[in-house]
Amino acid sequence: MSPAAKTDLLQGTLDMLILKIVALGPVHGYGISQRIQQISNDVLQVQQGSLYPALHRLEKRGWLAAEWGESENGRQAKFYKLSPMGKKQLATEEATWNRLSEAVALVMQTAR
Amino acid sequence: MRNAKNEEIDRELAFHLDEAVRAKIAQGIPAAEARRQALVEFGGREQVKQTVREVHLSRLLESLRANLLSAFRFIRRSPSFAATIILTLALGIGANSAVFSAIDAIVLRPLPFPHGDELVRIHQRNRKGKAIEDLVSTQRVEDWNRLNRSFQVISGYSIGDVTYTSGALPEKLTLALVEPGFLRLWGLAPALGRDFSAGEEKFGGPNAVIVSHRFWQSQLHADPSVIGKAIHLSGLACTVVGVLPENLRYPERDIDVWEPNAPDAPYAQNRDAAWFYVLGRLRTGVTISQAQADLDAVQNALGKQYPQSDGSLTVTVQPLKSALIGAAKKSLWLFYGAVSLLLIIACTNIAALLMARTAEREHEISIRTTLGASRAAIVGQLLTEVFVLALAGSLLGLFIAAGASRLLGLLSQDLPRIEEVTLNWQIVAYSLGCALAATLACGLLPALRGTRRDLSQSLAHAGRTQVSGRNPWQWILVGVQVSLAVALLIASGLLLRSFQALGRVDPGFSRDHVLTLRISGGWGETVDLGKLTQRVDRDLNGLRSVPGVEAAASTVTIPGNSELYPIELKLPDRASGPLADTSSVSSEKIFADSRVVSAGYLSTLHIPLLQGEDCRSGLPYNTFLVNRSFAGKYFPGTSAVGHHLQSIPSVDGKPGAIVGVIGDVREEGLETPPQPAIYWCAARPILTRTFLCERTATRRPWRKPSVAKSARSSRRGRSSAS
Repeated sequence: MSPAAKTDLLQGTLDMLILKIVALGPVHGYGISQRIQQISNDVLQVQQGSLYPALHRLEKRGWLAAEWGESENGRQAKFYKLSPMGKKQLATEEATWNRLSEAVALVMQTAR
Repeated sequence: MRNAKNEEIDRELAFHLDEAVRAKIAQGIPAAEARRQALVEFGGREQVKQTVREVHLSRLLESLRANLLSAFRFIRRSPSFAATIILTLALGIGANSAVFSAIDAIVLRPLPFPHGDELVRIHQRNRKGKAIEDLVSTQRVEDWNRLNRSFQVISGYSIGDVTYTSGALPEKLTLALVEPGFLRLWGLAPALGRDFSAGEEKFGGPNAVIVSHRFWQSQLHADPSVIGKAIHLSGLACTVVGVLPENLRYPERDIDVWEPNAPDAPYAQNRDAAWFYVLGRLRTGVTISQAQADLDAVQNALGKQYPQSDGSLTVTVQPLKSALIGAAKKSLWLFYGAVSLLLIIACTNIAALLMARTAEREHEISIRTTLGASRAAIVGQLLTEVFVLALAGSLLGLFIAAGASRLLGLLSQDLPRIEEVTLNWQIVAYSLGCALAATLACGLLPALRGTRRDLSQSLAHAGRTQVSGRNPWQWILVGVQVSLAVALLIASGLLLRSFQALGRVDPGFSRDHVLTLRISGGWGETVDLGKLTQRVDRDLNGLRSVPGVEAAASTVTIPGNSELYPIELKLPDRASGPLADTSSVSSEKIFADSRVVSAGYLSTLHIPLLQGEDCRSGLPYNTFLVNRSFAGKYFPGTSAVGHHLQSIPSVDGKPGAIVGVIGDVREEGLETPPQPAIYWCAARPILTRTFLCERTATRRPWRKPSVAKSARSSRRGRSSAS
């Protein structure tokens, strides 16, 4: 875990990552931050100050649905899951992201 | 709501922190250190919480902003539609707010005095006979004041004319003669100077007056040094000791000067010498019914002590506010009902318009629904659109209300407390409330109808141009609108009809070409009645000599002026008369309205003489005319002429003869049937106010100067008013 590897997320990318993680199944905020960190091999570390406002914003927009439930160790936690609208949104964002990253990769390779 | 949200955020963040600590402990870090690290990684917890809270707040503002934007877009897209709604609501809300401002000022607000709800009017009634004897003698006012336990002060006033002779021309003023404590009753101090002193309230004390703010401004040039100086009233020099505050318009609004009445004056000792209307201020916490019971007991005791004068009298305590506004209250609420109905009609009209509009927008709405907007969000948007329109309407309505209440003030100056009607923040708040209510009334139904669940399906199989004309709700709205309009029309039609019916009532006299004027006099003149009669005769002759004047006469009260002088009478020759068989009314006391008129009264007002002869000069004072109602009631089937009447208390102990019977005259107003009345034949007034009537050959502008000149030439130092 080298702090130098920490990368600032592109504006709007965090929302997509959250949607993606939540799409895997109902999960609480702590779980989301852990999973992003694990899957990205510790490259991406989500600050709580960004994670929770984003979660609430997505919930307000109707892309996430939230529900209080019991965590793995028997405590009450707020679980988020994807709404149908969120599913659509995720698909759109994924498509956009793929197009964008391919385009960026193309430019970087050609210009080499 | 907010707190629940905050707590939820708190719990969520606490869970996160705890999980982080657990994970670190699992890695083998000691508990205390684990917690420290977790806290450091977490960052400022309060800060995180605040950012999350802002998410919720900004979403709310965002949707409000979006709704407002959509509302303005809506107005821009169809300006004529928006203008129709704004104007309709402006008229409806404006009329409603204007009438409400009058109700607020006149009916709802307390009188503008300290503890105004403690002020009461005390009425006196005679248990025998139906005459209202609202005038109370000084001695009785004094007794009430002395014996009661529930009033801070009881005082009385009497209104009369007085001539102001310190100005360039003699001016008629309205004088209030007041009992001690009158100013204390209102809880007000004079704006300048002082209240009457104890010495000034004693008989033979210095002549002192307090003047009204208006008189002080118009005649005394708002000069503060006038305190202590003398002005001349009906020939008497009186020292001005005080100027009243501007807002004291009670008990009557046009009183100019106030003079103390001395309860110890010899002429005030008679318990029958009654000339005061009585007001009182309750002790703090005393209710009207307690005061009523107290005063009942007091008057009962007085009835036993003075059976002759007080035996048959009862008293009624009434809150001063309700005594003042009286019948105006009912008409104002009626008026308010009418304008409220109008507003409801306007709202149904707008609701129907909006419903048609929403039907046109079904397409837009269903797309939004499919895209995931909740029904509440769409209803919120539609309501915001209506609210923006209603707000614009109510602001425009406030201008209309301001104009309307000024018009109301001009048109109905007789309305009590009309000066207090102003547009204030309460009215602004009221009209905003109207806007809100109108939004819900006009907008809710169309919005709910427009966002029905089945709408998104309707999009699927209906063509995009489907605009239904089969909406049952629209028909219901039209029905409501029409029935309310019909109700309003019927009500106003009935009012018009009553008015028309009044117009057809024969008043019993002819108003055309009749001019009236009032000439002031002084009580001092009544000492020499012969001279007084001569004076009025001279005035009348002066009038008759003005070119174009056909007839002139004097009277103490003119038709339409509601001052009544009911008197008690005996018919001394009734028992022995030719109709002794109908002895039910024989020599018992009877009541009738009375007037004092001079010769020429009948020909001036074109009142028909039915039998006998008219008043003419030279007849003794105890000569009467009676009206047809009086003759019919007390002398049925026979001529009243030649019979005798005796007033109680009698003028000179002798009964007087009836010389003529005249037609009924509706003197108390067209809507009041004529009452039995008698007319004293005399040129001289029995009060200090005398009306002169003149009939002119042609309808022409009022030539007060020529008549006033004629009156002035007859006597200096006397004022006249038309």
